[in-house]
Amino acid sequence: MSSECIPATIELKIPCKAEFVSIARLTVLGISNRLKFTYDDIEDIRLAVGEACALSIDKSNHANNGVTELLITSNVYDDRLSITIEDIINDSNNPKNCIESLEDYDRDEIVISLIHSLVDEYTVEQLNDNRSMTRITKFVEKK
Amino acid sequence: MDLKMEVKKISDSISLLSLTGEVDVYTAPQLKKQINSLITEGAKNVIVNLEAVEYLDSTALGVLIGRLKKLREVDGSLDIVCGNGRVKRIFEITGLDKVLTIWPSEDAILEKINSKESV
Repeated sequence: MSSECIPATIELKIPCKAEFVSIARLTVLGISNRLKFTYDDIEDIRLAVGEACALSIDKSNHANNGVTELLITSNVYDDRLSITIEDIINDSNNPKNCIESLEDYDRDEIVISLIHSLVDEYTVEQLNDNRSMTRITKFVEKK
Repeated sequence: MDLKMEVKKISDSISLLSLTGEVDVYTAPQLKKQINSLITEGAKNVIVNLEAVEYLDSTALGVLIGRLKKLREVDGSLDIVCGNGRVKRIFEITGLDKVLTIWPSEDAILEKINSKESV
């Protein structure tokens, strides 16, 4: 199977709340285990997904943009794992602030640089309604 | 996994906080509350032991940096004990290993404290 083949896709939808991020991390850990990643690579992916979810939750809480869920889609290729984290708005259930405010250091900048150093590709696409979709990709044994 | 915290008073002004589990966007507020409580009780030097921490994210880093700033305002300090390569790497990637003092083991910092006290 070449890397251009249709990937195996696994979707997970979690409430946009801090207490559910560990479920996303655990799921991605299991999925990463199916590829020939090293232990360190798997830990990098887990951390990157955790950071991306936390960032979405933080932004949602501060912007009050109505995001109620996060859709985490894992596309498994032979040579890479590509994961998107998309903000989902569910009009019937408006979110309230659920975490404390963050510290006054520039967390966004640190998170972005952290994710960049953990994965091979990292992009954030701005969607309408002040939502965003984060895509992170890690290649197997990239030279 | 949840976050478990254990406090040990080394002296009137030094407290050792040992963490077990995961410190993330969900559990970091508990850590913040605990360190704030130690500061309120009079601790000027807080040692946070991350040896048994399996996962730590940037929210946790934010809490540690915030508490360090607070302690420095009263001429205090916040030291980290971390021999765990994965967790230590996060401090290194973000450059916070240069801001926070990281000790390889609890024995190492306690030895340093004891040697200061005996002078």
